[in-house]
Amino acid sequence: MNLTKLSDEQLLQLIARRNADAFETLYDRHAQVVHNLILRIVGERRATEELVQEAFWQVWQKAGDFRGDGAGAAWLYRVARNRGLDRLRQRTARPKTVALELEDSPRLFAYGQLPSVETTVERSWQQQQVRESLASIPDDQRVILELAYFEGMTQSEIAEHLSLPIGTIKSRIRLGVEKLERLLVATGLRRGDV
Amino acid sequence: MGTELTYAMVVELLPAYALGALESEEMEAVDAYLEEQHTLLARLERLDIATAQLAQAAPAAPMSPQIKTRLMTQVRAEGGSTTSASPVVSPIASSAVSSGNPLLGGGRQGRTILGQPVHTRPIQPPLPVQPPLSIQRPRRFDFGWLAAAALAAMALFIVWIDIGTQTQLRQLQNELVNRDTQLAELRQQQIFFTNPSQIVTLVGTGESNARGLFYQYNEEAFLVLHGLEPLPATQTYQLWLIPTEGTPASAAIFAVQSADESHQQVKLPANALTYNAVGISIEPSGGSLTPTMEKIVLLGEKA
Repeated sequence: MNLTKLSDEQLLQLIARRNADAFETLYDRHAQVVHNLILRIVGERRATEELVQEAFWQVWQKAGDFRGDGAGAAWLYRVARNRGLDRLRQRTARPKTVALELEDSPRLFAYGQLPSVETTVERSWQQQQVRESLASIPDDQRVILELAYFEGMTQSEIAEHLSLPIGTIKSRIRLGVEKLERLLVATGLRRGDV
Repeated sequence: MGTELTYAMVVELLPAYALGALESEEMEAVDAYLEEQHTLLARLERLDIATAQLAQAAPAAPMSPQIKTRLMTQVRAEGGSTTSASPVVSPIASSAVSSGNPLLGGGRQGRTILGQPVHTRPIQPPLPVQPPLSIQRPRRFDFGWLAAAALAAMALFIVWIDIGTQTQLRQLQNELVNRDTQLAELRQQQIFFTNPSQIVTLVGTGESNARGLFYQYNEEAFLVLHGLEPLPATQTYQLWLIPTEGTPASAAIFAVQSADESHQQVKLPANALTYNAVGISIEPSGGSLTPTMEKIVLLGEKA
């Protein structure tokens, strides 16, 4: 049994039985996305590292709560997003931008901790698909999806933020999510790819 | 709100529910509805998956490897086990696991160098104390031979240890060289992903489920391909740069070893960099001067 061939859902079942290797495999597969997501939400590197660790620790402790009726990665990203949004809500103010420092990135990796080319490329491919899908959603819908997902705003908060009627926000969210769903299906991203 | 919700109303609310954008009162009402009416759970699952994809749209940023180190230390210390039936654990690692302290999570705490356990000799029990000499004169024993034999054995042992250590050292040095090479390759490839001048998504044509990405950096490209079947020796895959007008230019011919995934790094012809689309076709071994259009298996246009 090669763990890297297992689906996220199968890995979560093993993690629920305290299998550390399965946990490490799941981490290698999703840590970068979880990190990017939390950093996008909280905007601070130090807090992000702490929250990534907390989110994965929660996965280790609560993998048994995953009911197996959805995509494992969707569950994992929800855990991470909730961590990030909780931290965001605890603050009164936060930095608006994040310096990516991509030029310095190679030195951050150590032997044995480099993600495989396959993992990097697969992730890159998926991110490219999602970005292309998002880019093809009309701006007025995309902005609202991003405010809800990354800023954790409710429909009424978005309406107030953008000075638009609540009905407009509701319909744009519905149209935006449905369009995103259709685009992702059309690009061939299946349930297991999430 | 509560039980007032109808099926149609919940259908309307589900996208915002999946996105977590409903007010708390609405969220509770939808929760209550879904607990009683399971017909929309499959729909909700699809929406959950779609909204979860938004996580991948967050900008990429480097992360510290220490997060993983800390987490895995915490997990192992808390009692995480290794995969008992998993052949991914090497025999050496398995022996280390079996000799470890089960209370500490499977023996991963043993001394290691680059993942290889270091075998140490067991501590010998102290020698028994000799009884006092009797008054009667004992038989003389020639300890000279014994000392010589012990010295010879010790010398042999030291030579044996030395050979073993040198072998292990050579293995570690080889491993280090391999990892350096691997790291250099990865860093070289990373430039295609972090700073591409062009990315083209390749989609399978006709009934082909193949897919791929074409990353261009200056006059080189890195191809990532999924689902292309290995071809017989009489055929080859050929990469084409297709201009808006004019003849497609051949950029490379290549084979794939597995349908799962393959990578190709190719040097692009300098006179064909104004392409509008990228295609991959199946051609006779050695390639063709122009693509066989009905055998194009992957195709993508510049964004």
